[in-house]
Amino acid sequence: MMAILGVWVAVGLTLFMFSFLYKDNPFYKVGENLYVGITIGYSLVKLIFETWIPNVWRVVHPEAGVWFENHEWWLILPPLFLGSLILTRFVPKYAWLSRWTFAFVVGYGSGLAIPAVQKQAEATAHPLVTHIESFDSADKAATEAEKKATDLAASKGAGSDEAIKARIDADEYRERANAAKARKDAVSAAGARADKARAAANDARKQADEMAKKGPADSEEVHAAQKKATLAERAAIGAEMATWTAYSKSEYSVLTAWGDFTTIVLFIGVFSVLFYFFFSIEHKGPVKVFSRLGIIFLMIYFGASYGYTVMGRLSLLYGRLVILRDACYPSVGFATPVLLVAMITVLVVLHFQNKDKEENA
Amino acid sequence: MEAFSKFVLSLDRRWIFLVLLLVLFIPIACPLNLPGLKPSPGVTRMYDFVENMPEGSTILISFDFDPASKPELAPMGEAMLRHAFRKKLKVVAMGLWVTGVSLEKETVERIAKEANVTYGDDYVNLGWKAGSVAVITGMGEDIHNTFPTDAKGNPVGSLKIMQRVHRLKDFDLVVSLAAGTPGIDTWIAYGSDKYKFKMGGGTTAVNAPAMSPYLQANQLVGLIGAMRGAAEYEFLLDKPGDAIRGMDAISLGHYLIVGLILMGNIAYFFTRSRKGVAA
Repeated sequence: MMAILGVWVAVGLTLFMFSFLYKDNPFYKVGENLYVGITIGYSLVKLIFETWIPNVWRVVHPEAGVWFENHEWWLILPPLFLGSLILTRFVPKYAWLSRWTFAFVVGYGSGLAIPAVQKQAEATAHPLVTHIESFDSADKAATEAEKKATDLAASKGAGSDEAIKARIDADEYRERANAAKARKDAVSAAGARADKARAAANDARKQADEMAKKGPADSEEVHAAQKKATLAERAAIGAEMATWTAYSKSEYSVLTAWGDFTTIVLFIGVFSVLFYFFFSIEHKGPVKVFSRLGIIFLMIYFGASYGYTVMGRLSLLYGRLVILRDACYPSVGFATPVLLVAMITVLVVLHFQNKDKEENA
Repeated sequence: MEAFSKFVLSLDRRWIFLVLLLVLFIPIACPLNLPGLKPSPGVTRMYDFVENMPEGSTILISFDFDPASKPELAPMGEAMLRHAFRKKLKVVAMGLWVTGVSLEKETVERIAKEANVTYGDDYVNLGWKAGSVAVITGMGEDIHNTFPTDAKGNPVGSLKIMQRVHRLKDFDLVVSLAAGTPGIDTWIAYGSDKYKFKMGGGTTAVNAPAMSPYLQANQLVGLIGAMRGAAEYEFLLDKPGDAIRGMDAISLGHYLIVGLILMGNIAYFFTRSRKGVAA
């Protein structure tokens, strides 16, 4: 019974909110106020029962059971004091005391956020300048770590904490060495494939040229041979590009991002947008050009964001429509059609009532 | 053409709402199974990462959204939970949004029942805790101190999975399915960047472009964007769910909106050119 009631409430509130698309009306007002009220009420109850009672009440109230049992009970006092100061906003004379709390929150937030921004800038630039470990150095490090692990296992026992840790480290080094070897091998393999593809393309082109010289140049055989040669040349270009990609991701490359155009675009985008909001230098000359580039990136971002937003809104609408469809069946008492018809009837009546009032006025 | 321009430019927007409603309702009433779903690199990377995790690895899924974003993010959560249970991974669920607590609980319990897994041994629900950034930094130092009890009130130390994980670094993967802040960016800035653990994300369509740089900078192992991303994950998992079923409606909706934009522009430029001629 409660489940059916829940469906009726969900369907009713969904239809109430959708009714705003027609125009502002009492159903929408009810839905809107319920939404705000329930959200605040739910959050408040959750905060009281999951934060206030376990963290404050049970710790500082002598009759709640854990007074003094928790030897760190006094740790609750500073946040309790600062939190209480926020309530002074209700007393204008002492409202200034709440600034202490806000100062703490801003200071705490800045302390966490500023290094985070710095780290984010570093992370964005990181793929551009990542040093790729060579197989030789990785293999050397792995061999040394394995020797250390073997020695520790022999001297302190294989089950000792130190030996286990050394073994885990050695396995990690070996994994890195294997990855370095795979990158190195990928360059050789891609190179060999590219050479083979280029040789095949050259042969095909040579054959097509010879055929064109011998026979009529516009014969079907010549066209077929030329097409074959063109396809082979395309395949060779693809293989050569794959070699370059493998090369740029291997130990032979200094800048990995050469193989990844998007990383460079993103790097320029992030820093030009940051520069657009940097006002300590006057935006003229090259600085102006760079900050203008930032605007272009911002516009592209807004465009992409708008497109995605449309998709997001359609997804949300789809979700509500599925609920409305599922509530069309007898098992839930035809909630959707019944409520829809009832709501439309009331709206029509209200429309005519308002019309009469306007005419009488 | 003039009549068309006049009609388009003076069209009451309520007709557009009605047509959109009907267009979206058609595939809901009778599925069309439109072709063309290809997994994007972000989703493929996420799927491959989970697929290659050894059996028994531990994954933390943070449900950082509320019912308003359910159609986009709940299918991601369901698909990831199904994948994790199929791979016999240990799942720890939690949330940073107070209004999403019951949604998270319902989703986790439903998929766990479907996968026939045991609470405490195979999955745990830590529930919600106030503080967002403080919760993440606290979990980075000591999860047992930040969450002394789980969502059911059990001491966290008594749960088998939690005896293996004490801080965020102990997880083999942390995934935030987020509709905003606190969400993926919060987890990265105050979690994975500081405590060095692997991070994945799923987000709403509105937030997807803003999260892409994290994927590019390898701060995320994968990124699932919007309902389409969820559908791609379901496709890779070979387990069609709500997202794949929803893609027909989304596609038709997009065709309609693109059509309306074209019509609006044609009418606008035609009217402008007429005004130019008249001048």
